[in-house]
Amino acid sequence: MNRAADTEATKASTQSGNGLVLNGVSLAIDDTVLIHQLDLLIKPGEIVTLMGPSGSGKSSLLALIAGVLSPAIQSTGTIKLNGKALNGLPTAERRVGLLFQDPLLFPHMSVGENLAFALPHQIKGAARKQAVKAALDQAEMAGFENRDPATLSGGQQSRVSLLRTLLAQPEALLLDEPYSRLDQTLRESFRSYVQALVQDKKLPTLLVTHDADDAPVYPDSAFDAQTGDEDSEKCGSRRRGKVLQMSELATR
Amino acid sequence: MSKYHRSASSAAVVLVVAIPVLIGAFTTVAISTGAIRFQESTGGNGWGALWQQPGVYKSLALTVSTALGGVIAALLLAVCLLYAAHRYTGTRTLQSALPVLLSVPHAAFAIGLAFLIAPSGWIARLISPALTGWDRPPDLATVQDPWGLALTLGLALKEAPFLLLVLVAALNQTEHRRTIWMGRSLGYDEWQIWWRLILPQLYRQIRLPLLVVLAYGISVVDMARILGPGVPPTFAVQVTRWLGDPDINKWQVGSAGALVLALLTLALAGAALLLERFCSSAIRLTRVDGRRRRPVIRRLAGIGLPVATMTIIGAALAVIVLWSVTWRWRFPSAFPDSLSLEFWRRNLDVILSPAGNTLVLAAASSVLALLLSVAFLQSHQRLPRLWLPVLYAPLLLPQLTFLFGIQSTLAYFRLDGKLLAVVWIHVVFVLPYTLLALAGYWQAYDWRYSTLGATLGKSSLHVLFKIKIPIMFRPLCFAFAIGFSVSIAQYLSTLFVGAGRVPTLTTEAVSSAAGGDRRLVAVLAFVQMVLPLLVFALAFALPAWRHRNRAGMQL
Repeated sequence: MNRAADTEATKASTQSGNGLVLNGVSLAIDDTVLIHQLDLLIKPGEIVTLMGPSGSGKSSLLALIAGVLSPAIQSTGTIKLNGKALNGLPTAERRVGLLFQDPLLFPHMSVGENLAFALPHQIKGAARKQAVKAALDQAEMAGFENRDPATLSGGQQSRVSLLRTLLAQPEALLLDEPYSRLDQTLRESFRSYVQALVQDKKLPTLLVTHDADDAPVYPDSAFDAQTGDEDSEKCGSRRRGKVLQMSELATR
Repeated sequence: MSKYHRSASSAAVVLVVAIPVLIGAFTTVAISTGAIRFQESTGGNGWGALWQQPGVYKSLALTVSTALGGVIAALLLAVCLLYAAHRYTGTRTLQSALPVLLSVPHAAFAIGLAFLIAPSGWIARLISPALTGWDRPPDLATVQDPWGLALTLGLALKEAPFLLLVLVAALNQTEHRRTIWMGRSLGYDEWQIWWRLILPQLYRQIRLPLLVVLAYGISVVDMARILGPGVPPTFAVQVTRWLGDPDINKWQVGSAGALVLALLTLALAGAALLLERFCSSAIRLTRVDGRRRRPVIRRLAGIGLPVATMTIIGAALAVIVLWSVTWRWRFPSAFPDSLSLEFWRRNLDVILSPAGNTLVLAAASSVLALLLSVAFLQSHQRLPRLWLPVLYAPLLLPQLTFLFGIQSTLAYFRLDGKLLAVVWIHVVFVLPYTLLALAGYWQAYDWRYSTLGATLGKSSLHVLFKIKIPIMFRPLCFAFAIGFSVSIAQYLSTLFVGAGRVPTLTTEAVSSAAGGDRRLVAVLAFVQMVLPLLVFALAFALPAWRHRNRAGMQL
């Protein structure tokens, strides 16, 4: 991993203020170091992949960024999102969207209510309905407003879950193994759906996964500051996006 | 979930439950020793006078035999019922039916049982004169018998469903299916597997509830007044009489008696633990003797006893309904000679005012207990073990020990007899049940729903009221119904803190049970019994209706 380039990029981005920036982030449970002094820049629209075995603390990094880290885990370092420091901010004010491996649609609400719940309060009346409808139309689920979430297929639930996260107008996205419950075909289509939306909305995104195939593939020109790393895998004229291994984060 | 919330909700629970119970108990001590005196009182110390009261030792002996006998019989019945349910009907149906059975107030059940087994009761009517030749009620003491057998039976039948509920919950935490396969493959029949392999795994979890039942049996007054002997009565009834005596000097004796009840509870709890030791080593000696089957015992205890128990409980409740619509029912007739609702019409004013009080008390105390429970559970991830004794304190101590002290303290501030004070004392008894009913659901809640709500930009209050509480709607309704039925069954607490000026269905039913018209008693008991049933029906129906289009919210 090219730390110098990373740090350069971090500096550059801190100045411009765009993207999700981690500076010197460390995580530890008692004496076990999970992450040691991580510097990371995730640019708007980029997906950085974090891999590692379960229990290695991948999800703890997401929890730290989302502001829901268990008090049993000690953390240091600063986190900035588009120039705004997140440390100490309550979760509700961070504007960081989170997606778990289960869709976790609120079981007592209809599909439409699930989506409307996420809309900011400033959007009122007919505009709320319109926003929900537009989201469903765009996901090829027109007319699903009054459906019971429990009656949707797995792929549909995942899509509604992502739509719900996006309707809250987040400025960054955290994905906690969002594809692991889906079968192979669904997995691929949902993966490209997520990637398209992330790029469209220009969201810096951190993806936690078990599966190296989940990391996105970019055209050569995109995100060259990161893909110049020696360990990023080349696929013709396209490259894998940046992949971090938990095992390396703990010891560096 | 901040530290501030945690200490605030803990403080609220301590303030509402533990401190009043402590103050009540200390005041009772102070009154009994003469440290606190009432005006016009002449006496010094209540303790010396206590032992000179007529019949005091006999009363104590009655209390020991009925409470201990009631607990042991209730436990045996519960074990046999659980075996039968597990073997023949499945425990799932049992688990949803039990709370409804539990919701029948003690007083109403005692009245029904008395209507059933009295010399002029339904059983005697059903078998007379054909089998017995009786054409008038026989001169037998089948209720209020001097040995307290009817009371013991009543306690056993009323408490068995409670222990059964605890046992079912404990059973579901064990690997009982595999244990049974294993035992069968070794050639044991189910009854032997039950006693040798499964029950020992359950016992630890039933210890605390057993002590609750024991404490209840020691200080029970409503059932004892209806089913127990009169001269001398059980000790708790005698203490209540002293405490309600117009002669102020008797109050000191009563206070000393209330403390004796606490000491007795402690002693019997110790005895119960010794008995438990003895039984467990006896069982340990015999359980490896290789006996594979005991068909006669299995059929008696696994089929006969459960069927008899359920029949008696069912008949006791049915006979209340019968008497409440009876106009004339001469002795040997098996069924009423003429039915009428006339008695309802005539006594409407007698029923309405206590029914109103009962409803207000039950609704207010259950809502308050639910609010406290939710606040407490929101700030404690799991029920800490340290908290259990504090929460159980009002259930583990005999009620009389602290109720008279609380009443005297309230009277000092002229707060006794106020409806609000009675609401509060009901909360003290309702809270442990609502808290325990909700704790499991709160622990099982998927916290990721709330995290998601927060990442969607919603405040924690918004998340609580829009996500968590709606998802918990079913358990909240259920806990409300449990709280409601606990409040309706309250007798002593209403009597003392209400200073006799807040009549409820329960206090009226108990006071009219002695010598009142059977039809009026039945009407009161019927309303008392039906109210919790209606609330339970609502607690099942409301969530079902609300979530009718939500497959993810079904049971």
